[in-house]
Amino acid sequence: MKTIKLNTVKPNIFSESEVSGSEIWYKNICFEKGNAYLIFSESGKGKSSLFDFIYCRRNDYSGEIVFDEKNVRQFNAVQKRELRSKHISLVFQGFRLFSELTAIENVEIKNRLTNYKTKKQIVEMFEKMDISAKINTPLSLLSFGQKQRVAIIRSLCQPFDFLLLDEAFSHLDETNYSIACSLIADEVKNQNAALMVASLGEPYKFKYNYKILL
Amino acid sequence: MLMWKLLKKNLSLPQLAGYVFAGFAGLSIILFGIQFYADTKPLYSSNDSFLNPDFLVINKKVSTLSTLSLSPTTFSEKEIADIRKQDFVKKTGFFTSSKFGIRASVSSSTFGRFYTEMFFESVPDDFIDVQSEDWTWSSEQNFIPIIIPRTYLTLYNFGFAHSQGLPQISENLIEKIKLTVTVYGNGKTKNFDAHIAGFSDKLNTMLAPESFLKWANAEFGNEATSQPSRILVETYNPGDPLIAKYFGEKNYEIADYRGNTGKAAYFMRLVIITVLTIGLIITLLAISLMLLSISLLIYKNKEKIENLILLGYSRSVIAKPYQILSLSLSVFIFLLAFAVVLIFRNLYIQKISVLFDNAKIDSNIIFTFAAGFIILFIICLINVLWIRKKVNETAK
Repeated sequence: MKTIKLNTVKPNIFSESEVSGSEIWYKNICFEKGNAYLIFSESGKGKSSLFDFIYCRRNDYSGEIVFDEKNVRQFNAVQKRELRSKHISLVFQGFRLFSELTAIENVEIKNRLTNYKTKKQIVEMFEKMDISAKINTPLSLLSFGQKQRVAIIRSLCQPFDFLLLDEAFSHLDETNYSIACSLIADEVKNQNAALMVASLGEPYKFKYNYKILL
Repeated sequence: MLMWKLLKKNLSLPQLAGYVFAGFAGLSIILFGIQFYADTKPLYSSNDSFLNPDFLVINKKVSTLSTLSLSPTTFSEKEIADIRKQDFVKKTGFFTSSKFGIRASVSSSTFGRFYTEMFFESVPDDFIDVQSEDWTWSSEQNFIPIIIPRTYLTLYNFGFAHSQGLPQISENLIEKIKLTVTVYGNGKTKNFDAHIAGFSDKLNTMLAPESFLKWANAEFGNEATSQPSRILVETYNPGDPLIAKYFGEKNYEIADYRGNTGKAAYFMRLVIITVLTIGLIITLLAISLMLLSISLLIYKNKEKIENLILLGYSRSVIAKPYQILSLSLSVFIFLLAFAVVLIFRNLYIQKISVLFDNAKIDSNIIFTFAAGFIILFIICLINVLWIRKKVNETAK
């Protein structure tokens, strides 16, 4: 997958006047593999909605989203599965981790599907992120910041063309998000993927090709 | 295993135990009903080894008048036609009597040599249920199979043998004894070998194959054939109350009438059907409980299922742990119910053998197993499809 095109996409809940200042909503825009995008706006402008639309979780929008030449609105269950395990990885704002499992099991449940990383590589990522001590701790006992790092590690355990980070560093201090950013940047570079970072304005430690106001 | 660890959360053990218990109760009742019916069916049929239980033997009552030949004990054409007209009659047949002299003798080291004058009668072959190779006769054949009343054997064993200090003989043994039958008449004599091919409770007569009697009557007989004095009647249902009523009004006798057995068999069927229905209802309730329990479980795990879908898991992979769970429980229930039925069967089968000493229990468990297996298959199919439906709904 090389491009994600948005043709006059607008969430149904927004009126046209509400999205008038946006460089994405109700515009034609194309995201390309290999580039890094910062998508910034204040709260409530639809950053999570945008990622939900691209991730095919919701389709309460007008306009069309096109992957390469395929309109995603008609994607069936198999195509969505393919998309989520091979082409797009997303760090959810709400993490979507499983509190019944331990930290490493939360990562393994994704990796088991994709077989993308070895157990050793996963453990190394935990070490780099400075949460190796919590590897076998039930997720429910971790802090928000620790959970956020687990979610980031999980998102790297799959092949992807686009990596979407939805306020993925909101609970991390500068030292920690710097480490996370370098880990992510390495993986994105390895996979020659596109990086799409949604934030309130903070650019974190990435080098962007485009900064877009939502 | 990770999937299982994840999805087993919210699993309600009491609900599953309820399913196992109710399913076990329902399935055991159904299987037990089927097995019990199969095992006791022979007891409600006639014990005659060769005569279909739906046959009745009809004769007129012998009175002083009939001895004086004023009221014949034979059936007239008109009377026979009237019997044939009755709704409960499927088929009728007549007895043929021997019109020649017969002398039977047996010689053995145990009994010494004795002989007796006797007679033969025959009925149409399709009323006889002895295996056909045992019950045939042709003019080249020097060997006659015969059927005697079981009461003769009883009379010998418990009356004669007992008082004379002779050994008692079993049915199996007597069937192995060779008799010599001498037939004479019309100035001719011929010897035949004979053996006893079966015993009858219903027919108080000595039966030989019809083909033999026809041939021998022509060869040695000295009288024209007369009207029959006994009639075989095949009925649709021997328990039909009309039968006793009709023959009672006509003043005919029914030999060893088993109308009550017919009624008991009918009643038994009714009880079994009731039991099976109850078992089926309990099983259906158990299935509903399981489906409800699974729906609830999937509903409680809604968020987890959605997250798994968002990770890229397929619905069938998510449904699998639930399906495996319900299938294992169902198989467990089936095996448990089947084992319990077998245990109970062993208990009652001994009782039945003691109560009815000549009852042959030749039924087996394969039919019950097959029935249980079909029910199991249906339960599993319902569960699998239901889980798939629920997971699909949740994943939407």
